[in-house]
Amino acid sequence: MTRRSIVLRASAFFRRRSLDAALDEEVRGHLDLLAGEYERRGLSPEEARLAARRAFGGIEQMKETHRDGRGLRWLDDAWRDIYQALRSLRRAPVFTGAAILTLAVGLTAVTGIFAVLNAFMLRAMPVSHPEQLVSIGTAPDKHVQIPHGMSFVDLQDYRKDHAAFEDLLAYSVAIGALNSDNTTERITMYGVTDNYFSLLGVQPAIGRLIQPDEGRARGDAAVIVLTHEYWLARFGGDPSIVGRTVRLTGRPFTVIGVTAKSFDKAHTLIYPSAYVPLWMYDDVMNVPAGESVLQRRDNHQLWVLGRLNPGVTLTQGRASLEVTTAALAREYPATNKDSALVVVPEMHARPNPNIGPVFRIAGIAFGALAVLLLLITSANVTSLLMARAASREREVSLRAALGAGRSRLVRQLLTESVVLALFAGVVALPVAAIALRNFEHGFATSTAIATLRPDFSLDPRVLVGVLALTLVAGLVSGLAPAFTAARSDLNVSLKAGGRGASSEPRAFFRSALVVGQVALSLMLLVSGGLFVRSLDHVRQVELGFDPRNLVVSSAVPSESGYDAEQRSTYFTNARQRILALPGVENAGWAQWIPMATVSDGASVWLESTPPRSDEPPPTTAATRVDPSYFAAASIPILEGRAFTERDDADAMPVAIVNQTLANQFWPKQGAIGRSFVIDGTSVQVVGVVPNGKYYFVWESPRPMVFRPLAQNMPLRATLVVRSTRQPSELMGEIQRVLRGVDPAVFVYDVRTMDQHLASEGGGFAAFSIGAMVTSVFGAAGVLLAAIGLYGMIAGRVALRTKEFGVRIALGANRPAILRDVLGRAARLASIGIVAGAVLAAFAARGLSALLLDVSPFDPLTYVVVSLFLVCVCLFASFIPARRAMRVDPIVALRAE
Amino acid sequence: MSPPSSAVPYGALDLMVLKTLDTMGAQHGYGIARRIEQMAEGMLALNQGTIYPALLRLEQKGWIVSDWGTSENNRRARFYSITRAGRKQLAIEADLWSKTVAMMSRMLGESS
Repeated sequence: MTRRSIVLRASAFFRRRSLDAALDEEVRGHLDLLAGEYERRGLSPEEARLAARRAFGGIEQMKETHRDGRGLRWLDDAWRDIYQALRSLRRAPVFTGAAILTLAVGLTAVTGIFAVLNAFMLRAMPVSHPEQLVSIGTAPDKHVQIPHGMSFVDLQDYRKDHAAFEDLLAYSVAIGALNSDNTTERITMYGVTDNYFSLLGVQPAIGRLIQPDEGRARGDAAVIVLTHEYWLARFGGDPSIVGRTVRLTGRPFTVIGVTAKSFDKAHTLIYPSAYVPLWMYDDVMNVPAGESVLQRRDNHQLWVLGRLNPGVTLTQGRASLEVTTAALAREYPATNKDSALVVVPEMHARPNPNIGPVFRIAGIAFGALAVLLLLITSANVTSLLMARAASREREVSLRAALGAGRSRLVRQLLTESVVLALFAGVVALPVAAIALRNFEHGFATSTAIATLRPDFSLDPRVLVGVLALTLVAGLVSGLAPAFTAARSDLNVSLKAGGRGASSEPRAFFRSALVVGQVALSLMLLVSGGLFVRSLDHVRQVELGFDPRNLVVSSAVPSESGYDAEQRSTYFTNARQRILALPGVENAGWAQWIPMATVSDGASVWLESTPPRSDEPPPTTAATRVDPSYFAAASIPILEGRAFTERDDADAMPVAIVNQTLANQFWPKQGAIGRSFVIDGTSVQVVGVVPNGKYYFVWESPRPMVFRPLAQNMPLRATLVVRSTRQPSELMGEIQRVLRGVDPAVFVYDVRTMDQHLASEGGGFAAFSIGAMVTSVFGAAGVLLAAIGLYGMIAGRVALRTKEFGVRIALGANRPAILRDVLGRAARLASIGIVAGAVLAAFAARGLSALLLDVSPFDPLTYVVVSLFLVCVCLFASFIPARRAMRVDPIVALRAE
Repeated sequence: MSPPSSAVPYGALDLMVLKTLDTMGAQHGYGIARRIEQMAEGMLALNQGTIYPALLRLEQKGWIVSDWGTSENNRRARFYSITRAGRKQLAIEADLWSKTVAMMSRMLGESS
């Protein structure tokens, strides 16, 4: 077929109607002319008309040939099959709904996982020739193949000799407070080498980007490049931003440009808002002298990308760098003796080189799980289709008898399952999109460390992949039923009246599938139930403070370049302004609060038992608080006193300890007035407070030290506000007031204590996430198990319709038939439940570290979940069982 | 043994249509059918309807084109005309036919 004729034929498919009309007109004209000719030869008009028809030949036959000739036969057939499939699916709404729902579960999982994998493993960086980019790291030891970052000093040496590479670039994540127009925001930045943009081939949207040799020396002009997205969000896309000065960590930086919009999608997980020269990293991050990123060979903080020269393979690239690795090991044995070079494609090092390999393994495992789930759901649909095929056998045989070829029959039945899968895809896509959006937000909440914002959008690659998987799922689930149906001997099945030959091995496979699904969903639901029970318990844990009616908010004045005195002033002013708010009872600052992502510790020992010099001193949880913190958080002082304003930098160093520490150091002797050493300073105990939870809600009692804020001013702190008002109502006011105190200081994570505890990993988050994930998967599992059971029982009932008819005709009582059918379902369900309970016991033992005051064998959970599953199973099989009971013997037997 | 009229040999109809259009210029389906019947002088049993699938085939190959016009009894009718590619094809096939016919008659002449 030439291309021209394919185009003609394909277009003919869409113009069928008008082409048919045209042909009709042409034929009518022809017949008229022919009849006219016959009339001229002397026939009567009637005779002439008949003669013309005879001479013309079979009109309908000709039209059919014409139609086949002008269109694409298979396209016409496919259209007819789809139409047929839609009609037959509409006639069986329960079956159709069940099948679509089942496949939708599998497709949602696959779509979700695929979108995540796409972001982490498949999407190319939007830069020129992304395939040339490799991640280069130095692992600390030859046996650990985890790529680490590289030190800046090592990088300089690698860049001296890189024959296989165009060049190497490096970047490191930095966080700072960016102040402009009197407002401050905490932003994530990348400190980048001078060749970062030129080597990647990134263009500016406006202005210019950091250029080679720019900002290499301390004292060079401080410049900053904004990302396109941040430029729009913060500066409304104002082009006059170029050349303007903003303050970063208190220092002036000149905005020189904005990156191209496409480059916003270049990052996975950690999204920067701006780029600064790496040479200014120390300044931006307040790195103490002596720990400079740029000078220490053992600071492996940089992430390095190299661009291979065209035609150079990764192996050749690695080999060329190995020379430098060996040289560095010889020259600097102290830091580089055992270090190994790790070179992998850029896509294997996402979201960053340290955890890239773990992500890859997890990603592949999750991908495999999702495909497995899709296979299970397909098997379920197969089972449903089989049940339907059993009752449709006569329809299919009839079509075969009427001359439909076997391949046409198979194609028609496959069309039906593919149409089902497509509908399931239509259901799955929006569900997956919503789930992914929530997942993105879940990632994005943590502002304390860096802006995490994954992009799991359903881009064309994902959509095409999902469409392909949808078609495959449709074909896979429909293949066996289609061939079975089309193979069936039409004589046998027409005569047998629909009893068809059901094969026992397949029945066993389907039973096993149902049992497996029941077992798995029981396991998931039991795990979910145990999490829910733990969550219940965990909410009642004595935290050591009163979490009700508290609002917290955090500030990092050091990021605005503030020294200890300025920070102290800020903390005092802010607290005063908050106290002035109506309804506020008290407020106090703490360096960190319980269950926060940010925490601190200190080495603590008794003067009488100093730690041995050859081992690191023991670390104890330690925080610094202002005089009103204990009152604000409602932490009672058991002995001694709270801190006062007089415990300042000039006074004697003091501390308050909790009961655990007091009992550990001075058992039964009273701690007040005693002293101990913390980080080398001797301090005197002035108070004892009750034990509390500090890192995790579920931790065992641990020692804790509180020191006065004023004696050691922290870089950051969190304000705890107790009020008589609704905490949620107060949050907005607190945020406004705090930002008004000093616009240069960024205030973040303003939330109620309840929200704080719910969202932080040390709080309830682990339990609620665990409960949610296992419940969602458990619910999906129950749905699949119910549909699987339904499909199987329905299939059996369809096959045995005539048997039931005979039994009823012979006087069997109908409830007995109901029991007969339900009995089988109950047997399968109980096997599944017992197997599931065993599985659940194993799983729960694995989870026991995450369970709080709940036995992994908690009888209540097991019983409730099992009863629930029994009900679901009985309900799923009751629908077809009732059909069996209601079989009309006359109808069933007449089909004979 | 020879019947008064025979079925159209495979592929011959397309050639007849091309030749007709080449000699007569644009024609509608009826005109083509009649011309073919006249030329066959009763030796051919042609169902006139069968030329329409043939016309479709030729048009899909780009050897003829069609356009709507008015027939002699003042009705809308589709007129077909041969294209340059059609003429080329006609020449090739006519040559092939005469060779085939010459060969066949040589073979049949020898065997008798």
